[in-house]
Amino acid sequence: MKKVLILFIACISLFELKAQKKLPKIDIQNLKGQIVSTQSFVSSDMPVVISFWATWCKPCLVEMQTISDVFDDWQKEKAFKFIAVSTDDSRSSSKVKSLVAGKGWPFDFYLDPNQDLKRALNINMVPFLIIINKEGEIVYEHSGYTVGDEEFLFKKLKDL
Amino acid sequence: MKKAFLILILLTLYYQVSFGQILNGDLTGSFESNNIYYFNDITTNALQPENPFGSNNYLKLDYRKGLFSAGIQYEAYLAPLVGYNPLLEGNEFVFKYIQFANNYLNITAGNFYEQFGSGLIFRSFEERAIGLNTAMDGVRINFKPVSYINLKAFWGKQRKYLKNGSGVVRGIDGEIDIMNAIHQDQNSTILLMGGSWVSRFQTYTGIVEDYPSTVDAWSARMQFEHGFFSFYSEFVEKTNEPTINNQNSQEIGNALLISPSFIGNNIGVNINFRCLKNMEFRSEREAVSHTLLLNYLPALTRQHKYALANLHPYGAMARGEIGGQIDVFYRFNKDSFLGGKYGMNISANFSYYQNLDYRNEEYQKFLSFGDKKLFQDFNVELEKKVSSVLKINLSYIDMQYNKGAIVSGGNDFINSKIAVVDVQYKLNSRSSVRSEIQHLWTKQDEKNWVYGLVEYSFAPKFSVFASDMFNYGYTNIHYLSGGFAFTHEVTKFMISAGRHKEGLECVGGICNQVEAYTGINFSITTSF
Repeated sequence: MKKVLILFIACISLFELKAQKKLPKIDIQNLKGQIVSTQSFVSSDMPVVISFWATWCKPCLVEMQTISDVFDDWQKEKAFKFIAVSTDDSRSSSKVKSLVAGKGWPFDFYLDPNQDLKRALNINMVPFLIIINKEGEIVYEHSGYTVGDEEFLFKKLKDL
Repeated sequence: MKKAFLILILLTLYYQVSFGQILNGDLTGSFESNNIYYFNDITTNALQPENPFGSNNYLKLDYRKGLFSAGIQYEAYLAPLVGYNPLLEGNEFVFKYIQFANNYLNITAGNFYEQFGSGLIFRSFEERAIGLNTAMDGVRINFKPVSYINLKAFWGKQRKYLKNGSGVVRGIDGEIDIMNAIHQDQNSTILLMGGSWVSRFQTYTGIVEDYPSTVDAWSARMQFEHGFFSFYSEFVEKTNEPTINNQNSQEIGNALLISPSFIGNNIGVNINFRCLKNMEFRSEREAVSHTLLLNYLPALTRQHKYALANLHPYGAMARGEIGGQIDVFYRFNKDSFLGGKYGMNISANFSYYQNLDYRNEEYQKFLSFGDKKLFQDFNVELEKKVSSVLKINLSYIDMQYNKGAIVSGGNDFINSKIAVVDVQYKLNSRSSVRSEIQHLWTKQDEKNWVYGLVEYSFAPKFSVFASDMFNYGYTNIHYLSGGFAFTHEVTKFMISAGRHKEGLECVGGICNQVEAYTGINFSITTSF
């Protein structure tokens, strides 16, 4: 336990020293099953929200539906890209394409079936949101979803 | 740990930079700690373990600079929580790696996770929630000579609790994006084809003649998409290996997965058909439970979100199973007759599984239907935003669960019907209340159940919940539970207390019985 604590403190103090962390370059899949690098997520015109979710995760579905409902209104106020990365493994990853079509969600969808990207970003659980600025730096991270969280996300986006 | 630091120092020397500069790379990580203090509970027969305090801890660190990265994961189980294998007790730097990656080559030395195709032949992964980690320890190479070809190879040993198992595993996988290879531009039609070979060697010192020390498996797969239609299929064959898990069967293993999807405007349909015959594949022949699994055979059924719907979970029958599921998702648009002002979502699923027919006493027929139904589930869910502050979800589930076949090998059905009302009410822009009422009707097993939950949350930091799951007519036990969670950006603290029912936990074709427990739980998760 002592070792863990020392390491934990060491990490946090190192964290204070370092610069803004970047989105790591990881291969994931698009809904067609083709390999896509996360490099292509970065946009030079607008911030990008990346949301990690799963078809079996209740708060994830609530969050996605909520953002979908206000998406057009938000876009009028502040342009941003919304990428949804499903962390479903092969138990449910084949349902993602039909589920998002059946919900009519207006986002860009990707699959992370063996959680390579989730792990590289050190995400413990879904839902999890990050915002990437035009330089590809991670400027905001949020774990979990409770009703009303979306307002804080939008405020953060407008501040960028 | 020493090794990891040595690696970092070597990297520093290689670049001839000062330690100050190395800090300009990215150091990220995560920490998770789950702790439970257990009590004796005569009502549920939950016993306090000899060490009443269980604690599972994970610390992960990754360092990236340029094309190199390195990382570690430290795990401490002092003692392992109830439901985790007692053999996990201890603490260890279980995961260490260094990696070089540019646009076409990725080399990892040390520990890694990998998946070939859908994982039917090979998947190494981590599922902390049930103490499953099948990480490999060896070398992994991923080579993309051109944009439409992806080649992978690995060899190594597999994690067994906090150490490595004795089997040696090697595998190769190749995938080609055929339409891209022909046209080299954007295509409306997609055709991907792939194949894998995975082989395991473990010395055999027993007395059985011709006993296989090597088990080989190969697979072929394809993905096709055109317009509204897409299709995925994978076939696997595995050589024989008599083990305790397959009752010393000499059968070869086979698996076939066929999964078409259709999508349209506001509608999506997905079908899965799968047949498994003797497909349990492990890196040690003596391995049992959630250890040393080489492939991933999930139950292809609806993964339910509600407590009572998860009382009787189906686990895929790796020994022999045939069946499938169909999912339909549909959205009624805003301002349509049924959609109303905000629209309405409906989804339905039907799942059905049966055992395989036998050619003789020992051999099953692949792609045949036996005489035993294993599982059937029909469920439908309606999701409706009634007003700007009120959302209602209604679910109905009709489930037939062959407890005998799934748990003990007999033929003993639990037929249940479950109804769920889930209401979310927004009090103001930051606070909301959510409530669930669930009821399960059955004449078998422990008879009827009722469940209630109330959750209050105050965005973005606080939430508190209380729930009760009550069995009436048989045990008359209340499973009360309550808790509080605090979230600050990426850090989450949670305290909860309550009674937990014994039950099955199924992952990748393997189900584990978890004992009942009563306790106070404290957890913290964060990333940095």
